[in-house]
Amino acid sequence: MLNLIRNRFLRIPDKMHIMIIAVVVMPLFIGAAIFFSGHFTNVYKVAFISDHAISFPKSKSIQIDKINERPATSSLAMGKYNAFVEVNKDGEFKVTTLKGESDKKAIQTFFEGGKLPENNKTEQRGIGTNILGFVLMLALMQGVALTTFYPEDRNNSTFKRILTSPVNSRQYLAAQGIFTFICLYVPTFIAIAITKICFGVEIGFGLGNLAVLLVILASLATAFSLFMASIMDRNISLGTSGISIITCILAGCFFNFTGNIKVLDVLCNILPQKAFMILIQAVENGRAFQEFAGQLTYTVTWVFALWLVGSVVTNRRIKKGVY
Amino acid sequence: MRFLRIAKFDFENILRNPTLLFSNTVMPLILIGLMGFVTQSFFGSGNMSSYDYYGVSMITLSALLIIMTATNAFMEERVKRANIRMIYAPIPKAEIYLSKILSTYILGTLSFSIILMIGQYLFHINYGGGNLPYILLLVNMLVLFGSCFGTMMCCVMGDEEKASSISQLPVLFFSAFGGIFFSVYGLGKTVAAISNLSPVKWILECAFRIIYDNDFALLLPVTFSLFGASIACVIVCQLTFKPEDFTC
Amino acid sequence: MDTIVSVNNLEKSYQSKKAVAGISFSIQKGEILGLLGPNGAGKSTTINILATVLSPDNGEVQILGYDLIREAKSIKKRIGIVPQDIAIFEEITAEQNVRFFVGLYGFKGSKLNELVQEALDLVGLYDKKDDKPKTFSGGMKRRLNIACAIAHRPKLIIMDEPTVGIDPQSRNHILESIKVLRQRGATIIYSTHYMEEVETISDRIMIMNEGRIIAVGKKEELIQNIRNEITYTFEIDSSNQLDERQISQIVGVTNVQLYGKDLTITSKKSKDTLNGIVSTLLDNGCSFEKMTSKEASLETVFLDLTGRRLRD
Repeated sequence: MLNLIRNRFLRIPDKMHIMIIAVVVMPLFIGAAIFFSGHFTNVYKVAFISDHAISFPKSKSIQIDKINERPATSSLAMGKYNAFVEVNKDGEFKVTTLKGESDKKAIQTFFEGGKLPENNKTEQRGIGTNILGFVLMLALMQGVALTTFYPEDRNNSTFKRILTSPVNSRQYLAAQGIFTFICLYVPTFIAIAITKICFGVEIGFGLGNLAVLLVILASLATAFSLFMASIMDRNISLGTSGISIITCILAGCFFNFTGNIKVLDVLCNILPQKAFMILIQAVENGRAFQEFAGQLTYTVTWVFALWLVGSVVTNRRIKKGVY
Repeated sequence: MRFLRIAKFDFENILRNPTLLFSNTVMPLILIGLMGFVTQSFFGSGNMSSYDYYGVSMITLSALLIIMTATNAFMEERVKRANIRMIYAPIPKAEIYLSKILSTYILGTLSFSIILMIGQYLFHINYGGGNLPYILLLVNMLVLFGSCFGTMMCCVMGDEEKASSISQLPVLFFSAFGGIFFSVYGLGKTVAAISNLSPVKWILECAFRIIYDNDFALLLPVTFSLFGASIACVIVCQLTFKPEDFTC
Repeated sequence: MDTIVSVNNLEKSYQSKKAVAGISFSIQKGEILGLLGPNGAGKSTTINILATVLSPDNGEVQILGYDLIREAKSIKKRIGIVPQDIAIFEEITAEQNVRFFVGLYGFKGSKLNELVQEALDLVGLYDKKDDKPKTFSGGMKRRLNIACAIAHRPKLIIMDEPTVGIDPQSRNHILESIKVLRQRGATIIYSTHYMEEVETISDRIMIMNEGRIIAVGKKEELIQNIRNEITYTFEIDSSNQLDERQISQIVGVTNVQLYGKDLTITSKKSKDTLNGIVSTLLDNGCSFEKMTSKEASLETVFLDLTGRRLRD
């Protein structure tokens, strides 16, 4: 087994681009994402269109640009402004925004009363949950690139040759899995830890909790990549990226949403990412892992199921003489 | 005539690849539907819904991802093996890569044009109504650029896997900083200024201006820049493409 | 003598096609068994089953006293496979390749070093041990392909066309290495398309066709069966007028093949038959400038048994 893992590491120089992406670029990307999301401001940017000088109380949550002409509607779409506020003849404020009703009302209230309503924002997810949601998607996409030796060995017949030795396909997949896991886990953990410790960015978790959560995350990504590499023959990377993006959106890795389509709800709840997101959100809110044993067990079951199916498919193909 | 025959052969190769076909036809619609659906509550009942926003941004992202189709159509292992014969045939090397660009471009332009029309007329996504042809032109240019860029990456790297994985990086970077997933203005003025360097930002801005303000000021600069960048990619292809890369 | 391989009624089908149709054979210790057969004869399927990577549909196989199905792992430890494909890692050095594959058999430390050096020495690549195979010639890659299979000193070595497409020098080197391996006590199954290789190194020859064994025995025994046959090759210049059936009907003729201008006829060694052939050819308006004759050989055995040449 060690020999198989060592073999993967020995072959790294030929796959430098993958390793650089996994070990340098992705961690930088994650670091940058954390750094910037720490600076994400929930400030309303409002264009106040008026020829008259009217002053408003200063607020941290609202930033007003006073201008004479109404800006292009597209600046709302691009997010340059969240709202335009105009005064009509009767002195009433008219708010134009692409945002939802509650936001519109909040801005209206501010202009009319000089204060934003208390708790006008719907409860937001913690920064840690957002970060790990994003990292989960990257890991799912990245895992398959780190599993590239496996399909390569199949194509070059070295896989078949290894199977003629006392090593069986389960051991081979386990060795490949350990390699993928290490390459996913170590750089990700270091990147997040450095961003937290060196740049002082709040990530919502202690390092201990982060370490445990990342074990689950990296295991899921590893099992998924082995599964995809086992069932697909070509375009594995493209297929995996597509499935990762769609399932991560559905599982709420980026946006917490409540749909009203029952089928979709059921589908979302089946996804392992959903259980993982519930778990990390709870941990970020200070709850204990044990309280969410259900979600934990469910995610781990997925890890084993993906692993098992990948292994069974591989074995069946070997027996059929495909490789 | 011979060139068209090669391009047709390449085009059929893409059509025979279910993953490529899926990612250029159904996938963009799924992405628009999904992103639109999950972000519904962030948008009001005004003149732009979540579907309108992600209709534009996800089409932009998908069109940019045609890079992956180009790298696959050019140097994916199975295609590569069949293509080896081509380098022994008495044809200029330019025809080899130009045919990949052309076949990818035709697929992309056909499929994204259809998606835009389906989006506007069937799903009532706002693609500018009467201004739809300009959005078609914009996406078309983006597809051309993506096809040229992907092919260029293959020529430079000489290997599909390397080309694909490295091309993903600028796509991801420019998309994130171009406002595909979220508005960069929320990240402060510095980031907003940096985002001006992302071509994706200009494409989105150009599209939104056409759709919501009937403003065409950015259309020519953006399309010409994309066209110019495409030509630059082709020049790099000619300078770097070594047919012998196919043999190893 | 110990029986190393014992195969009884082995069957394997792919969909409806029988790749191996109930074959039985055995191999004794220290033997080199040459496995001959045209493409699709079932050689590779048989080899893959013996190599434990393909499950048989039916039949019993014992290798080194172990049952193929129940004790596959014990078998794997003791056999070495040289695959038809060059199954090596191009991006790591020759030594790292051998080290990796021997390592799979559980060897460590100084024993591992010793085995790696021995294998590289045997195939003549020790001085290239630090080079990567991507810089090797086809022949050197084939030699490394063998080194990876024999380094753990297997008792049974199965070689599936190990010399395809290589230079004569590398081929000779490989054939010499095989003889050395046998001297060291290994038993070898050697599958090939090259008749002359089988003639040079095999103790016994097994000929397969359409999933069946059609002949097995020592070279001399196989030839003995057709000792009375002779093969004539005529170079004729008016092949278009020739009806092969007419020649087939001559008493004593067993096989007629026409390739372009070359007419090959296998027949009984008899003056009357030769006269019959010559007069039929002349009657058909064929004139011939050249004629050669060849006594029975492995090639004619093969032709006689399968009705086709080995590389058809």
